[in-house]
Amino acid sequence: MENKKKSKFDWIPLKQIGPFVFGDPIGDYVEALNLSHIPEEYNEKVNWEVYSLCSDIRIYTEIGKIVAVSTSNFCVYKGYNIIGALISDVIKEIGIKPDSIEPEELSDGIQAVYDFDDLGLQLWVKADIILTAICSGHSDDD
Amino acid sequence: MMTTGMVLGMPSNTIVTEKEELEMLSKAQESLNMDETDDDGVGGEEGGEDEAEEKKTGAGKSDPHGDGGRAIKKAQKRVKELERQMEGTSKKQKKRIKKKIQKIIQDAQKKRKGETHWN
Repeated sequence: MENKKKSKFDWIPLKQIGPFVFGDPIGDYVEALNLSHIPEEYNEKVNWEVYSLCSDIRIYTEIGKIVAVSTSNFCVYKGYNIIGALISDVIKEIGIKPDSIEPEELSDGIQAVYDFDDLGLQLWVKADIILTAICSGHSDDD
Repeated sequence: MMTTGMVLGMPSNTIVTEKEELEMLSKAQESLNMDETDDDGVGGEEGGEDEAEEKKTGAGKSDPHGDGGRAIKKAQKRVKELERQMEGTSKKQKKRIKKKIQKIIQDAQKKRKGETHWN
């Protein structure tokens, strides 16, 4: 991969990204990391409460527990930040083909959404570059 | 640079061959191209009177307004579609859709923060 930025925002599939451990109570993090609650991003059907670490990182919770994290800054896998990397490089790197690739429109145009169900990973890609990663853990739903 | 096919703990039978990857990317690109030809850009499932009215008059009185207004309206419409898709689908698919909905909401809120609520 070309993007070799390193940070502490490591992603361990289905377990953790950065400091956030899937399944942990969000209460443990709100004060420690000064998270902001974002009620305007709550959707009844999804039923995930939304917290923000910064403008590009969202933490999603269900019944008070962390179920997913969205990041457009850092998602470091095996030492490489996959945000900003080529999707083809990341597919080769993780060694699993996506379960689905679908287009989705955002305010600044269409992005391709790659889902890797077994990794709990969804990647939003524009012009072959990964812009956002949404990582989740195991849950009772799986 | 790590080598192509380096599996990082994944089962070897899950390695994507270059051909498979190209096929998938090609399919996605075709899908994207088709979508770009659609005015709505959300899969060609829309249309009808609402859309015709919007094209004729722009956003209605009660619709979100300003630069992000149209984008928010379009996002709301897409979120409703995805909510419908969640009903009666598999658990894996439901989780995918939940992530999509949240991303779309976040994007729309970023575009025009605070004016529209999603519940």
